Amino acid sequence: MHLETHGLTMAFGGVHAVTNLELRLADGDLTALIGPNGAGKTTVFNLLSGIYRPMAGTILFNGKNLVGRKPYQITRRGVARTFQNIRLFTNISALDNVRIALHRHVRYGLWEALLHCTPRFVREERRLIDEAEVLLALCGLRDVADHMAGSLPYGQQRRLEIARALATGPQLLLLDEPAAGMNPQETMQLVTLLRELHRRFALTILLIEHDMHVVMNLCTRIYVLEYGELIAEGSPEEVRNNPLVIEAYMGEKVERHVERA
Amino acid sequence: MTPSELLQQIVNGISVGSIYALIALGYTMVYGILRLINFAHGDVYMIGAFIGYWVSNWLVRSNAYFQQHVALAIFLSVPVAMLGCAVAGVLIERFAYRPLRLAPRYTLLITAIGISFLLEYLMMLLVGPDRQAYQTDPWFSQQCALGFGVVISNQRLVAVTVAVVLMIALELLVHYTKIGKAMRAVATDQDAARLMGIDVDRIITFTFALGSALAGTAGVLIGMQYQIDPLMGVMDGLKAFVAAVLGGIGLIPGAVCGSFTLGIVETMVKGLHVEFFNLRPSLFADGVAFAILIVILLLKPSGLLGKFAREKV
Amino acid sequence: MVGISTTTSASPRITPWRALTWLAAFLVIYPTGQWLLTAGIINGYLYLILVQICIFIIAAVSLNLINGITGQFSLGHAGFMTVGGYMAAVATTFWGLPFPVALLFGALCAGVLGFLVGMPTLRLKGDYLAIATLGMGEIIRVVFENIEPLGGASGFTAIPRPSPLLHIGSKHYGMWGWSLLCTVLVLFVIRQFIDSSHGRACVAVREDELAAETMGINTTYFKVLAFTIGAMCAGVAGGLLAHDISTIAPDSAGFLNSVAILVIVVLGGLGSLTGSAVAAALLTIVNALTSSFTNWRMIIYALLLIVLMIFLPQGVWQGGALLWRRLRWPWARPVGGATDAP
Repeated sequence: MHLETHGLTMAFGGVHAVTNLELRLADGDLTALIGPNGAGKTTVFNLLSGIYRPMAGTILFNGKNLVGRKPYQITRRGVARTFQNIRLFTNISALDNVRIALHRHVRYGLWEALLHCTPRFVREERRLIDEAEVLLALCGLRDVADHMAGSLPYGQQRRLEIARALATGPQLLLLDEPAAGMNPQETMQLVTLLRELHRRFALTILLIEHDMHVVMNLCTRIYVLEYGELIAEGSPEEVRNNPLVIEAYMGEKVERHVERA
Repeated sequence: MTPSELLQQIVNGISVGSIYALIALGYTMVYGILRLINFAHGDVYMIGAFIGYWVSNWLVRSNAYFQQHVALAIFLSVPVAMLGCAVAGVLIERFAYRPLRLAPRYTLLITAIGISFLLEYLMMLLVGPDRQAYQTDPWFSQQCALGFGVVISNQRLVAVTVAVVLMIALELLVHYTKIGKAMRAVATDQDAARLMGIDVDRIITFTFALGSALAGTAGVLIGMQYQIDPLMGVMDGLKAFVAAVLGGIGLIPGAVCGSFTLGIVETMVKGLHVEFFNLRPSLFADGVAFAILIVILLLKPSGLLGKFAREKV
Repeated sequence: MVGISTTTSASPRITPWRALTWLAAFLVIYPTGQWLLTAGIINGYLYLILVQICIFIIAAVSLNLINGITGQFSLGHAGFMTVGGYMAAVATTFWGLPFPVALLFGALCAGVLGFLVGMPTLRLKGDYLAIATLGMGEIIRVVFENIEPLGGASGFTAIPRPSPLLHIGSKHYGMWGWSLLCTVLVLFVIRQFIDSSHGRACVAVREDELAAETMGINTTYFKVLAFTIGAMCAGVAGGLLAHDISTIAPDSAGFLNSVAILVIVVLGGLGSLTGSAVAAALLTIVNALTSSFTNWRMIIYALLLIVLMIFLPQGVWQGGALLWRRLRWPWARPVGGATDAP
């Protein structure tokens, strides 16, 4: 899997959310997209997943341009995502949330859906349940499979979002603040989970995160965004010591800060 | 069609549109603050028409002066109708919509429909299904020449004038008074308005009262031109609603703009004397309103004056 | 979210044999009913109500598929019924086609209309879609009012009564067999659809359209699919109605009739097929019992509506169940379910 963006630009009215973004992800990368609030990170995700259409630029996924494709087409090509504000299907069970995301792998058609009588239907339905249960178990949700998604505690909801995104069978997984609102223990569990999923499904992961523990422990490469522009990229060490990055987060130049003290 | 005929149609359309506007304003204001399509609004308009009917008839019957000046009796019934409808609107909001503030869309919609039925059939019980007519005044049917060969009856002229005056008054209220500012705040973001110390419930009640009063006026203005019956609010209400959507639902200038547009288009379609395939355009006039609706929803759902609001992901 | 019942069961059952059970039920009910009718145990009046109940169950359940399962706010369902009715009537009256073929034809026409209307309008969300479908219904009304060969404003009359499904008993009880058969078929088809991956996809569209789209579901396809299936079933209901009362008028496409069906669906509970069926039956019976008190009936009906919406917004079925539970165990906390808002 290979992802490249060239000159990716998006504006809302007069607000330039993303300007001329050049991103590159190689197969198996564990990359983070960080930056202060309002930097345009979620906008990048929305562009990559097809929710917004960029004003300019291209998104090449495995050599094919994703721009102009509808979200479901992009997902079917192998890009899945989670949302910053959890968007689960709240009134149905956790199992069904995952089963729905498995729909594209279903091998029966509409007629069989209406009649139910064929062996293939029974087989496929069984397979869907089994696969969904496997994914739920992986994410530690086996016991709550039949609970209403909306009634799950926050941490489990976040993990369900991940399980659901995984069900679509992606090559690239976009995680929007997966550790948001989690305590340190939950965060550690999440890092372990993500490492496991990365290994097991041979995923490429791009995640937006504010929690530096997650970023530093998990990711090998970091992109830093500020006001929609890329201000730094590199390994965690490089980025941590980059003065531009520090200024973006602290708000002042490092030298001036030291002088005043 | 000669320019003079065209102009006449436009003037007629404006007079129809001004009535739609008075009703449409109520729909749009309520939608703006509550995102609710108040299906009972058309029936408030009907109540206004009947209040005007009862008051003007009572004045004419009980006083010889008014028998000579029926028009005056009708004018005097306008404030009464406005007050009566404002009260009706407030009661509906307080007892039917307020308890369901947090309920899902369908519930509110069905309740609104329930109120609509209730008002219609209570009125039916009260006055029977037959059409009633206001007292007439010969002054009303006198034509007034506006130049370029365009004439308008005094009746219509009065109706348009009253409507326009009220619309201007509403604009002034919304943009230059404190309560108008509060209304705009509540329409933009209820929670933020509440945090700024605005009594949101009071503003909502006020908006309902205002919209209903305008609808009541429309009722009297229509009543003095045409006949009234308990189910008159259904079609007219629906069309005024279409007008509000056409102009941009939730926007006051939108309601006005949409109403005049709808009025003019409808009048012109009715005025067509062409017959294709046994289709009579006058029968189509009703369908025109809905065809316009579908077209605008497909091309620009936010309406002629509306701005597209993007969903935040 | 309060007000919408869960459709997918928590512990999924796969039921390929359901078809047989339903067929068996039909094979039992129909001849029994037919015998009861001809033996005079159920009188003719009750029979009329039975047919009406079947028709409204079909209408309500198909609207529930669009509104309750897929979450698309359609206010033009009566328009599809009317189209189905007219087209079926044309098929039997002008072309002399047998009744089942005519019904199918009517349903197909309604379905095609649903597809054509659905494609552009299902881009609209919430209230806007409601308004568009409302407009569609009114346009259908106006169009039929202007088609003279189909009776114009006074409607299509003298539609022939179909011959009975099975020749047990006299010809007069023909409609009942067909209505029951169609009801069973429609309920079956929609139930199966909901319990499939396609049905679950529709539920996803209802729950969160954007998220569904991002999970690889072509939301437009499913919205149009649900709309078309719903429209086809409505067409069946319309065809049955037209042949039951032997007339069909443009007014039946009007907004008020669409509202009547919506009321049944909401009272029964959005998303609950059983609820729709029960509500359809109840309301038809109430309507029939109070038909002589038109004005008072409407007032009571309206009051009932308002009171129910304020106190039982989840619909009579689910709301009633909740109420019952609360009455029996007033100290127990309700189990986490669809009616608990997160």
